[in-house]
This record gives sequence, C-alpha cells and structure tokens, in this order.
Amino acid sequence: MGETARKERGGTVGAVLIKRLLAAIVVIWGVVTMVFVILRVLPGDPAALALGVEATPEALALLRHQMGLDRPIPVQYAVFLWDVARGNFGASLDLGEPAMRLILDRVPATMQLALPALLLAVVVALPLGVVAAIRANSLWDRLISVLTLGAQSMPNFWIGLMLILILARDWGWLPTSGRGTWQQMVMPVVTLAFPLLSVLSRFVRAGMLENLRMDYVRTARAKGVKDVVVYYRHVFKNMLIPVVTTLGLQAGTLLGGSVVVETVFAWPGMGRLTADAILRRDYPVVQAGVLMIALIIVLVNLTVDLVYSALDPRIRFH
Amino acid sequence: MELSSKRSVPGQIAGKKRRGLNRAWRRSLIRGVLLLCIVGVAILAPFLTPHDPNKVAIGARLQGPGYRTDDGKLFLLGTDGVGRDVLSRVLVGSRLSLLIAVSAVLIAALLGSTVGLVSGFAGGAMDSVIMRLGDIWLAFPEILLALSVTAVLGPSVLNLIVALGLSRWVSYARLVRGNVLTLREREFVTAAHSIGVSPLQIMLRHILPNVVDVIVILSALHLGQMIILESALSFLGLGIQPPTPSWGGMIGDGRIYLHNAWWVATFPGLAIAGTVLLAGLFGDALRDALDPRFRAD
Repeated sequence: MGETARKERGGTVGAVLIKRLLAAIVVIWGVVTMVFVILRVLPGDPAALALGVEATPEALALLRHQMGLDRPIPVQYAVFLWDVARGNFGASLDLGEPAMRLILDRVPATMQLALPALLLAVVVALPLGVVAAIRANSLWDRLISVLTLGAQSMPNFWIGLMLILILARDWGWLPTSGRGTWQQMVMPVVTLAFPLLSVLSRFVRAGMLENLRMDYVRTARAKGVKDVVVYYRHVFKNMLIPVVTTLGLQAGTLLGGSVVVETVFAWPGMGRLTADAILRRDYPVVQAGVLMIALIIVLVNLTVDLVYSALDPRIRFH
Repeated sequence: MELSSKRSVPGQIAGKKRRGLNRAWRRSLIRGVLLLCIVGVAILAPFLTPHDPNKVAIGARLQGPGYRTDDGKLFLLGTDGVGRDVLSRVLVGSRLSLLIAVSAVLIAALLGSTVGLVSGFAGGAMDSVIMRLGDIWLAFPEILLALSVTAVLGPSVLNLIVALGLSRWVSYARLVRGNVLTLREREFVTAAHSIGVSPLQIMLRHILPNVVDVIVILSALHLGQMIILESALSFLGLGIQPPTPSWGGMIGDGRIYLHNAWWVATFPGLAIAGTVLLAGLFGDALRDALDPRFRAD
C-alpha cells in the first residue's frame, strides 16, 4: 500500500470513528430525553402513582414539589439533563439511597448472567446453524428448525419456571433461586440464553446458505477444494461478521430478558431492581435503571460497530 | 392457484416454481386456518368454558388435572389457588391475549409503515432524523419500554395496546424505508413523477402496494412475539389486572404454587407456546409464499 493510500485509510478510519461516536452521543442524548418524556410528559402523575390513591392533597403537593413536578416542563427537562450529566438521579423513594448507586451495585450480578448466557447461546447456536445449513432441508435441518422455533415460542419466564419445576423440584439437582453458588447460576443462564440461541442459530443458517450460493464457493468447489475447507475457510468466516453484528443487537434481548429472568429466579441484578422499581413506582430508580440499560446497549452496539468496520474493509471505506 | 400464477416466470422454470409456490401457499393456508381456529376459540370462549372462569371455590383449591367434584363436575386441567377452573381461565385468557397482540401489531405496523414510507420517500434531513429516532428507540429493550409506559399510563387494556404497539414500530419503519429507497428509483415511479403525479399519490398508489407484502409478512412474524411480550407484562403485574384471566397473569399466579401445584403455571404457558409457535409457522409460510426471495430453501 502506498503512503498516500495509507494516510487516506487512516483518515477514513478516524472519520468513521468520530462519526460513529457522535452518532452514539446523539443516541444517548435521545435516550435520556425519551426517559424524560415517558416519565414526565406522558399523562399520568408520578407523584400520585408513587403515593397511591389514598394520598392527601398536601402530601401529593409536597412530593410533587420535591420531585420538581410543579415546575414548567422545559425547566424540568433542563434540571433533568443536568442531573443525568452528574449521575444524580435522586434518592430511591423506597430505600432512601441514591438511585444510581443502587443500580451500579447490581450491574455485576446482571453481567454474571448475561455474559455466560451470551457465550452459551453462541456455543450452541453456531453448530446448530451450521449443521442446518450444510444439511439444508434434511431431517436434521427440520428438527433443528422445529426446536429453535419452539424455543422462540416459549416465554422465557415460563421456561424458567418449567426448569425450576423439573430440575429443582422434581429432580432436586439445582437450587430454585438466589445468588451465591455456581449451581444457582445454571437455570437463569440457560433461561436467558434460550431466545438468543434460537434467533442466532436461524441467523447462522441463513448466513451460511447465502454464502453457499456465492460464486466463490462454486469456484472453490470447481477447483476441487474439500467441502470441510469450503465450509470453514470460505463460508463460515464470511458469515461470522454479520453474526457478530446480530450479537450486538441482541444485547437488548439479553438485558430486556434479564428484567424477567432475574425476577423469576430472585436474582439480585439491575433488571429485577428496575422491574421492582417500576412496580413500586420508585421513579428515581426507574430512571437510573432504564438509562443504565439503554446506555449499555448503545455502548455495546458502538463497540460492535467499530470492531465490525475494523474487520470489514467494505464498511470502512464507505 | 391464482395468487401464485401472478408471480410465475414464463418458460421451463415456471412450472417448478409454481409448484413450489403452490406448496408454500398450501402450507400457509393450513397454518392460517389452524391459527383462525385459535381465534375462533378465543371469540367463542364464553360459550366453550366448562365452568365460570372467575368462580372462586376455596374448598376445591389446587386440585390436580382431572379433578371431579362430588356432584360429578370435571375440572380437566385442575383448579388454581382459589379453586377456579384452569381450563376455563386458559380459554377465556386467550381473548385478551390475542386481542391485545393483534391490535398492538396493527398499531406498530400502521405507525411504522407510515413513518418508513414518508422517511424513505422524503429522504434528506427528515429521513436522517427519523432513522436516528429509530436508533434511540432500539436502545430500549421492548419490555422495559412497554413496562415504563404502562407504569406511567396505568395498566388498562388500551394502554397496554399502545405501549406494546409503540415498542415495535421501528422494525416496520426500517423495513418499509429500505424497500421504498429501492422502489423510489424504479422506472414506474420516475415515470409517474415526470407526468406530474403528486408525491402523495405516488406514495399511496405506486409505492405502498409494492411494500404491502413485506408489511404483512413482518406482522405475521411479530404476532407471536407480541403475545409473549404481553404475557410478560401481565406476569410482572403490569398487564391485564386480576381477576380478569390472562395467560401471563395465570403463570404469575401459578408461580406461587409451583412446588405443590405444577398445573397452574404449566397450562397457560403451553397455550402461549402453542399459539406463538403456530403464529411463527404461519409467518414463515406466508413469507415463503408471498416473497420467494426469502424462501428458506
């Protein structure tokens, strides 16, 4: 590569990086604004919801004042932005502690489930998808397709309960809930991985099939390259890049899933904390939790995007 | 079949393709009819229930499947924590689950398609703003978005439909926009432009009919996911409120009795899984039939 070309390429990568970062910042600002809109602008009074129907008008007025709900919307928005920028979400209405600290304390527990679930989903989905594609329309393909579609059709909280029923209640292999030992991780991780591995294996199958149809595969085969080599070196590797992007997009599925799965298994993560806060109308914690989850998703996608453009020159240059 | 011949290609391949398409149509027809059967059960549920789904009988609580009272009344799927008939509640529960899912899909499809159509057709700054808005939306897990909206608006059926509909519009907007971007450059559109057809007319008369298939396919594929999402909200307590039976709510109730009464949580879950599976199979078949480019084989 010539000097100019290298410079140009460096420039392009830098430009792409800056463009993506700016876009991510815009998205984060949008996310913050949306949380504000949902919790403050939509009809419905957070103070009234927090206090319940029996609240006296005085108590209501006091809480509205404390929450700043009696100020004009633009002022509320400005204050909200300023608070978010400082990581200040106020104290939890129930627990009295700073909402953001409560959420941050729970992040490790959520990751402790999300990361192994992601790994499990990949490890299971890749071979399933590859076999389904290589043996397209065979009995195996159909079996895998029925299994993955079936897995996708079950609500994850129900899968979790059925696992508890069988593995914990009937067979006594695993503890039903809580966090501490590795045995307590097994069921939540499997439950969380289920929907992901279905989506992923279908995606891998489609990606493999698409690449198998390509001219370069025909050429490789015509040259007498062995099937295994064609599958691995040509098809599999080309299919991986879009799969990585899908994985990034599934960060939402995992973290969204954690809201339900952590509730089922009484796992002390931020998903459960946020869901509980929503049910208890603990708005500071809801804001902190929803924002943290959205933020993680944006950052994961940004990272995937950058890794992706580093791997695939076609994206880097366009 | 009529619909398939519309898309057949002349020549030797046509026969083979038509056979493939016919098979795809037959498959979607069968699955569609099965799905309609479930809808039929939901509509007729009040006449099909063997017992009053809300009748509490503490004396008969947590009786297993096949339980018979002294006067010979059969509770095929057992009773729940307050002695209500699980089968009757599963049957009646289908009504709201389906009604909410279908309405939410309609809202998402209408809203998303309109946005996508306008965004793709207008292009420029408007397009960028709308697409960025979509990015922002996608940063929220659907369940969290729907939970937050129902938490603020209160858990009524209408609010649930709105919350679920709002959580899914982006997929439609993106899909339709992508299609519009290609269609916009096609000859029949530029021709319409050049003879002075108004942009609105072009969008509605020339572009929209060409994206209807993809909207229908996506809607069919989303229907099941919507049922799951609604059941999750009801499971967490922010969906359909008790005592109205809903599949998710029943599973939530059954969770408490999981250790001594497995049937309370199991059967509503099977109802969800069966319905969603059928909706997914129908969506797949419809995709194969309507859009052979996406054919699984």
